[in-house]
Amino acid sequence: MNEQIAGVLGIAVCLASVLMLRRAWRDAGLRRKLWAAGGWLVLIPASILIALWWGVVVGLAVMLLTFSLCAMTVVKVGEERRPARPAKSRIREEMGLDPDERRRSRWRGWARGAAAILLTAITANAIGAAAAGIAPGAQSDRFATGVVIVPLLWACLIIWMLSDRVMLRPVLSMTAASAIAGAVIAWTLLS
Amino acid sequence: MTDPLRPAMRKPLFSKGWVSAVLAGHSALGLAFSAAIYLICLTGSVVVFVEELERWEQPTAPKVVSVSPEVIDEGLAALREMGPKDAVRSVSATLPSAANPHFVLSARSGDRLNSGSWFADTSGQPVMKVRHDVSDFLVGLHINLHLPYGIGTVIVGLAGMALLALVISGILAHPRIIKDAFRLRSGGSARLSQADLHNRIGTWGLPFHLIMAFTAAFLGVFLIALGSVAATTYQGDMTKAFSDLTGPSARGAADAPRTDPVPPSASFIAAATEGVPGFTVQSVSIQQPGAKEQRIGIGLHDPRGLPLRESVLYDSKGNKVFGSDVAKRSFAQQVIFAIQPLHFGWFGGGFVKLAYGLLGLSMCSITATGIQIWLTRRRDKGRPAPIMERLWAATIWGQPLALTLAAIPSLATDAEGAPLLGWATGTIAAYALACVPFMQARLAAWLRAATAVALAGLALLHAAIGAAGGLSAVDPMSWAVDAALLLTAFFVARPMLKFRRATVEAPSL
Repeated sequence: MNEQIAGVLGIAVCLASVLMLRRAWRDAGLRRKLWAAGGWLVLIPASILIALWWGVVVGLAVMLLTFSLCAMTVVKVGEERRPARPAKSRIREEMGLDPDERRRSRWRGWARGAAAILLTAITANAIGAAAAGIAPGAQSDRFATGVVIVPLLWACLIIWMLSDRVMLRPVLSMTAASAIAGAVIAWTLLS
Repeated sequence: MTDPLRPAMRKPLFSKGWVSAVLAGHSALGLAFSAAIYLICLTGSVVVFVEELERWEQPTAPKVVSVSPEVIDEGLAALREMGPKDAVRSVSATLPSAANPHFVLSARSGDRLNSGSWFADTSGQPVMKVRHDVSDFLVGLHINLHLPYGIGTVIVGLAGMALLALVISGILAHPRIIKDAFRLRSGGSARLSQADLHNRIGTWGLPFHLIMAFTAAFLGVFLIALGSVAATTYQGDMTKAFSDLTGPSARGAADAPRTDPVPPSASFIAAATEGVPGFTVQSVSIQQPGAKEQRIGIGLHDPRGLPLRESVLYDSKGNKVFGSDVAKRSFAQQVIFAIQPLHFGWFGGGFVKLAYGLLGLSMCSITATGIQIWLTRRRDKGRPAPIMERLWAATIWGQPLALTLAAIPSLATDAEGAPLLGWATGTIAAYALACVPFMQARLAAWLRAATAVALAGLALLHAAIGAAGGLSAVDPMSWAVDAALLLTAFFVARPMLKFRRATVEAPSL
């Protein structure tokens, strides 16, 4: 099959997948599950067709991009237009949760913000360095794994620092983790 | 009877208290970094097309379809002849490709006058200096906000880290992600509409947003992570850590005498391309040309692969010193080589670039609606923030205007600072208007209209200047970019045109 035709067909199959998932969302019971399963499974032939044009790795990326664009288009086309003044009770029910209303204190806000930048940076880098230092494997592989893990860990620690209602909990935990990681780093460098 | 659209309630995965707490963190992070993230995402959406913009900036650059190794050697020799040979640190030739039909020669020299890039003709002679002031400005704004190097890169790095945290916390704080998967409500409650738009784009754009956020965070904090991890894996030798990935540098030979001949590139190209069918030669470079320790680098590109390039380094005797061999490396190392192409969108051709541009704008939309949700919530709770509302409107619509104004002065002047001046003018004007209270309801519409007019004006002016020089001499990509600018102007103006038609058609009382 001509590679480009296969690629275009793959894009069309992506769109079909999204439409099946939307059908599942609107349906109920066993039909819902069947449409949902079909919608996800259809992405396999879509990936294969796209890979015929773009190659396996690039094809996977293209499939994900296409899937996102098709889904956003389907959502937009199915937009529900409402009257200008809906009932307040309906809004409250549909809005979902609000963020925590926390005790306001300027120093707590600044302290939390500073910890979210500095303490998380120290902890994530220390843990990444310590883990790379003691992990088995070739030098370059341990290094690569370490530098890839650090940003992910750092982001998760930022979320924890900003979300936890009890600020002392992440502060103490990260301080302890940094101290342990520091000891491991020292042991690695000295041994 | 069970409502088919409301299945039986299951126990939620996360408690309401937990979700509210994560939402609070998500909200705080968004508020702190929203302006920076918006500007970075907006400029990012534009610089995906930097190759096309560069062709638009210099539409009369000589077009070269292919070059032979002898022409490459002519070009590199011409670069060395430009100034004192001892001062030349590196010379390189970027070969023409389907996306960029130009032969570009670059030199890095201790002498600033002879550093830079030139377009070369089919015989390899440099004929036109490369000047991409607007593209360089946009890229600079994206990577360091045009702030002094240490400050700008730290802010952008932290913004990338914040973006990654926002994407992850956004997923965790969205318990109705499946229940509301295809729900988009508009026209009723403003807060509900904004929340739906924010959450739907966030949900369905998740693969792209996660990859962008992770690669942004990685690139932003790479030097910090490199230093930390190299401490334990390479005993602090960052140079060794870097050279294991990119190959050894010949920087140590910077002061060596340049008495050795520079070998012709043909044999190195043949050696590099042997055994890799389908790879195209992307570049030929020489570090410390003429020195005993000079290094000849061949850059290869796999059109069906992800890495930007495969590098092979040789010494002047033809011995292979380094090969990136990405496919043979471990998974973690391959991830590192994939970071840049995944972030830039420079793989897979025009379709991927277009998808990146559209999804990049979706990230701008998420950032914009996120702050609007916070502002609307404050208004609903009786604590409106009108100044913040105007400042945010000035950010959302002032920046597209400012970026357009950055491109206009360069049509008339060669001054290097012209794009920065244009951008600063637009930014200051937008925020100045935001200081005026009576602009509350009109600011966004005015800035939007001004953006549409500026985009259309830029496209028409650029096309007119190009046409005046002779249609056949102009790169067809230049016309395509002008058309894209006009199309963008139309889409920016469209909601306002629909509103005006609705008010005109409303029956008079």
